[in-house]
Amino acid sequence: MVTHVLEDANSNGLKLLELLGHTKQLEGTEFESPSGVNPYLFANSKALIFTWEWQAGALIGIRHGR
Amino acid sequence: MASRSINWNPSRQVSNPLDFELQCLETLTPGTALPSSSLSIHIGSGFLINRLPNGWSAPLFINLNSVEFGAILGAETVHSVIHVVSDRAVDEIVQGQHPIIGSELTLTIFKTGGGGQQEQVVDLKDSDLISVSVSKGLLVDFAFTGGGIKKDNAKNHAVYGADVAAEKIVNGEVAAPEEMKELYSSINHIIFKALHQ
Repeated sequence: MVTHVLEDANSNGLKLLELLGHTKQLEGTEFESPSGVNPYLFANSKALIFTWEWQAGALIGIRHGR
Repeated sequence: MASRSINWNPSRQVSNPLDFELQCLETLTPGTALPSSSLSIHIGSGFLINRLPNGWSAPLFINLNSVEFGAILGAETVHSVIHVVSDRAVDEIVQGQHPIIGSELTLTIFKTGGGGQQEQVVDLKDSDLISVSVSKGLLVDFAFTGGGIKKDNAKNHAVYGADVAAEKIVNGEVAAPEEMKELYSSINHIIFKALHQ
């Protein structure tokens, strides 16, 4: 289990760097050159957190104007 | 402590991100029909690696949970690299939990698999964390957030043993695992390019 967890963390982290365009251009997508991601953030970070989140929003009410 | 970020689209030609935030707030004023109350939950997991003098620490596995209340639409899966820019945030996560409290404005994000829309992240003052995200799905929100980043004790114990404290993991007393070396190498390469271009 230990190896499996660490290998998953490694591959998920690499995939995320790839998605953000740091390591190579994704092929087969329209995701082009994400130059907005600043590599200097990596150089100035005290630590890095890689996360995988699921988020959902539900509407409770509608506000009408005026 | 507040963690706050704005993702903004450079194509909108907003020269000052704070101006952009104000523009977004203006769109949420009465006078239009908008969703005024909604609830959103984030459930996530991941890991933290700490910068050491000679590299990166072994990963400390974490959970991320938060609840947002505000104007939120849609559902999405979000993958993020969170840049921790203060020692305080690292210490809080290691000691138990780093709270995420405050308002957050997100106008999403990198869309994968189509669209190619690029967004950029701008941190505001008082931020300990700067996140850059990739999203599948679409979500636009302006929300008040509460929650936190916590150690995943079950996973850390399974990987390192129950007697290994989180402090030892992030301080380098636990050797960086061979299985993670490829990721560390990629990160170091990004930093090298940033510093030598």
